[in-house]
Amino acid sequence: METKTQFKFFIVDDDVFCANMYNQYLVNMKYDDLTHYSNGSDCIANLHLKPDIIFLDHNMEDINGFEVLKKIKRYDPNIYVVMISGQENIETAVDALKYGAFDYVIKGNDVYEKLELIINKIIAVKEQLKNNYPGFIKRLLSIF
Amino acid sequence: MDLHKLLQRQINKNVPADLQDNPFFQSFIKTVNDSYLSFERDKDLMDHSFQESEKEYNEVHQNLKKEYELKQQSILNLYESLTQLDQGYSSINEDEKNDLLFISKYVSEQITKRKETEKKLFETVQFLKTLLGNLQSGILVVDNNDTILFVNQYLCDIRNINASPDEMIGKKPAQYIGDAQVLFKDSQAYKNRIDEILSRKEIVIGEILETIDNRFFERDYVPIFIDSICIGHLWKSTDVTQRIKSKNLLKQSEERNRIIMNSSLNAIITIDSTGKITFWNNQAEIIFGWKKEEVLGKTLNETIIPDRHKEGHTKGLKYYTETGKGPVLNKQIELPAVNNMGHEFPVEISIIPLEQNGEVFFCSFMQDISERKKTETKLKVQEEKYRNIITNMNLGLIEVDNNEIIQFANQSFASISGFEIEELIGLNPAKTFVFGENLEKLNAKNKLREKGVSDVYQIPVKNKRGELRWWAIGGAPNYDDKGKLVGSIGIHLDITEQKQMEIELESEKLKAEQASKAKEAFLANMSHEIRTPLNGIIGFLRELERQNLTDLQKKYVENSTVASKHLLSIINNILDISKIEAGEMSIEVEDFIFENVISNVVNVLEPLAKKKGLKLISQISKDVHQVLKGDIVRLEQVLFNLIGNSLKFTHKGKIHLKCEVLKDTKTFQRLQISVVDTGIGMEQGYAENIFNKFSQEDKAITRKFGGTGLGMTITKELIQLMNGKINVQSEKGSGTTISFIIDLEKGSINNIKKVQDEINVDISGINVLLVEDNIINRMVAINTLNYFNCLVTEATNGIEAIEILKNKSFDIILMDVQMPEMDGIEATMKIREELKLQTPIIALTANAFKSEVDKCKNAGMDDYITKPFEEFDLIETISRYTNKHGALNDAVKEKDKKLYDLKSLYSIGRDNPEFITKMIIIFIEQIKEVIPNAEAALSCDEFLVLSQFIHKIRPSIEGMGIFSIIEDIKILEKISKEGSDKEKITSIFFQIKDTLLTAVEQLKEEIQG
Repeated sequence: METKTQFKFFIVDDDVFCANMYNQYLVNMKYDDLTHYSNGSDCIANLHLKPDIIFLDHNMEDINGFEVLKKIKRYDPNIYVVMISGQENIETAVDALKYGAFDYVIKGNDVYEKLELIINKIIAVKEQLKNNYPGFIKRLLSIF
Repeated sequence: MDLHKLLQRQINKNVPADLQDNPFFQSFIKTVNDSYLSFERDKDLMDHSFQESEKEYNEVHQNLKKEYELKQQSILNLYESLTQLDQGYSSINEDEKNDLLFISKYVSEQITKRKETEKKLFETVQFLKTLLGNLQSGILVVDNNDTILFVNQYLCDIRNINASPDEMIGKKPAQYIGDAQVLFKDSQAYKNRIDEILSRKEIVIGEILETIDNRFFERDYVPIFIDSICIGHLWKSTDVTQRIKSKNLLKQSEERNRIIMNSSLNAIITIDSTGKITFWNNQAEIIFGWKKEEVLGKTLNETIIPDRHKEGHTKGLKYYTETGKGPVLNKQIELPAVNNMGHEFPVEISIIPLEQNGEVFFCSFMQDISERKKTETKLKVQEEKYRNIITNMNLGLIEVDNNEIIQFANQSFASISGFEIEELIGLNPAKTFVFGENLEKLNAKNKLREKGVSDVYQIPVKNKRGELRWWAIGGAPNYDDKGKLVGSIGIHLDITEQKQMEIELESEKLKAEQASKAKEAFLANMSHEIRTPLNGIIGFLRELERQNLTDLQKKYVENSTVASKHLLSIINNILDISKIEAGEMSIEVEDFIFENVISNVVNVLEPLAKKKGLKLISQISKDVHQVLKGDIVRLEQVLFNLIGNSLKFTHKGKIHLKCEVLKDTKTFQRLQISVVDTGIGMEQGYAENIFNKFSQEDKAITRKFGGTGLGMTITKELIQLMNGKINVQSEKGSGTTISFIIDLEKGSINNIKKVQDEINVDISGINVLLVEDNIINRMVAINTLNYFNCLVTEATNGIEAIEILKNKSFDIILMDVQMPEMDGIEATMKIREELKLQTPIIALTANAFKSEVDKCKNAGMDDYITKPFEEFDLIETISRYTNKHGALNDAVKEKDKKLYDLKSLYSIGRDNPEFITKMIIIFIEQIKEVIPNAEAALSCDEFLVLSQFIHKIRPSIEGMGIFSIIEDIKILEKISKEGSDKEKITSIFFQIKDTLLTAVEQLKEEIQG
């Protein structure tokens, strides 16, 4: 709890209410590097700030969430993008994952728990990736 | 006539008197007399003149006389001075001395000579002056009166004097010292030193002065003595900056050379051609122990050469002097040497003959190589060791070149492969042994070698006889001593047997996994299959209880209920265990009041304790945070198990439940919860075993105390799931203490789910559709529902249910999951998607696995109840999903009641009022913006746009907890998307609009108040 991995978050949602909610969720989880963009273009324009995790609303007025997702992934495939959508539509979810989203969350009152789960998953994945480097292969009969 | 007397006399005497008077004669005599008279006058004149001349002569004579005397005197003087001035004069003869002419000649000669000399002298002086003037040294000559006699321009320049040398001559040097003084580093000392030198009048040569601008002058002071008399002194000053600097550089370089020589890790010793040591550096002192002073001048034979080499050394020296050749010179050789303690050790030595100024000497560089020798020996031993290891370990070793051709193979490899060593050389191992797709693998490995990577891998191969063998191959790139890749080395171990075992093991594991899966499936099925009839038994027993029974009958029914409930608990425990083992069990986290949990458990168990005559005391430390976060159900289960266990094994005394805080941080508390009993206890050694399945210390106990044998196992697993630790301390006969430690996050009282008031469970008149294939279960449910005055319609499977639903609407649907024809999941999906009904659906499932529950919820069910159900659970659940319609109807009545619920907002915002206010403002703005837009869209029949607007505000409405319209919002979003039922859309929209506007007004008050 005390030593939490800090991430840089982008919250991209044209719904200020939701964005503020997510913001507060993350604040509750002791994350403080949070930036809110109310449209996809702003988010893309600021990718150079190297966000670790982006919560991306699917249904936005300017650019469709998928377009933003694709652009983010093209810019840096290592950014974890979590699609958030009000649509309980399997196709959207599948598409999101297909375009490289880390996870897909449906808006609702349990978003908080879901966000926490997803962040934990991201931490676990990152940890796993770190550990996956081929360890020091003990050289058998190193005399050669 | 007067005649001259003489003439008269003469006439008188000589002339006769006759004649005398002759006139002729008288005229004659007259003329002669005139002549006489003239003669007389002339004679007088003559006399006078003579007298005058005489007088003059006398005067001149007198003068001459004086002159002569003077001359005499001066000649005398001349003689004197000649004697004095000229030594040569004395050599002149006395006779000649009187010869003035000679003297004068001599003197004249002398004078000429002197003039010559003077001229030469002048030239010399002139020459000297020019010389001094142009000399690259400052010259200052001062006479005894401290007056400057000579100074040159250069001095003026270097001493910074602002006067020309001509001006200075004749002046006092003190006048100029001020100018010069400031030039020097210590000007006062400069002046003092001059005074000191002057007072001593001793020659001082080569004094170095340093100026402030870092120039150096060499100053000489030379007092000038003539015939031991000091007549003055000379200062000479020369700019020697360059010389000093080069001297310093030289000194430095010399120093550096010396330091280098001394700090060299080689001992450096030079000897001259006679063998005497002339140089001995620090390292030589260290290596040989001899001090420099001790060895200089000695021969090497006397110092460091061991006895047996002494003769050789002498001979070598001699040979070199004779022939100029030496076989040991100019190369590195290893020789033994001795130190001053007589200890002999190997040194590496190079002797270089050198010649300087015709002198031959030898410079030797030596290094103590005893360490290296040791290492070399060690290396040799090690190499031998590893060679032995390879030979003895039966590891097949081959070396291949870059073309994969075997260059070397050892005997072990030959026996592993079945080839002879001679056959192997020149073979390509990949082509010889490897087959099929393994070739690619081997090629990939070879690529790795080229990159310098070594690794170990396993590969199936064929040996010479064509048998399949498994080899473990450790491959490493092989480099030559220049680091160039020349191939690779492979070490081969035949692991065929191990591999076979591995394969067998693999298949065993697979089997085990399958068995485990089968077990899980069996448990799931069993759970379902047993639960279904048990549901009937418990249900009918419940019904039977409601009948008028005799006391005996009542008791029988009660016993049957207890027995069936026990059976259920066993099944539940088995299920729990299998859930835990299958990783299905998950811990929920919700806020709860800790004290309530404890009192729940105590309240239930206290009557049991009393029955046995035991005291059950709970003691909660007041430090325990009122609200904690955790899984109440599992925590209660643990406590029930622990206390239940204690109750079971305690006959008298008391059971103590203690809750203490071990650690208290801002976010969580570490609690230790202990159950202490005074029961039969057990051996401490057995304590750990109680967590094993179906274990009790004594088999007899099992019979005596009963139990499923799973309680403690579940308890331990649950505690581990909660990241806690459990600990048992027990003494046979005196009691047991079981305690566990868990970390629980602190919660907020705002998040506590309000326990539904029991009054709300009035479900009479509710229209229920019961979909259930099992007739007994159906009857159980119908009995219960009828008991609570519900209207029940039955359906035996999904298809039937859908048919019924097409014609009739219900308040709630109870749906069995496993049914023939169409199961509950499919039916639910159809109801939601095809019939578009939002009627709450409660799953009735005998399968309590989470995966099942998730399936239900995903299909669109609202909640679930596991069979066999507790009557209360069913009623409560039904009322929860049906009561809100009543609330909706009462909406008008409760106008003043707050339409929103900020509980979740407060919980998210951690009670931060600023956050709440901000969110409310955002919400109000959003609603005010969206509602008119949505209304406009509705009036233009743009339902899709309306749907989008509604979709947009839905999360906000949920966030603000305006629960009364959430369902409507969902419906509105959906039907406006379909856009078919304008009437319904309009009606729901305006209903929502009213509610939202009211809520906005209320919220405004909230933030103002």
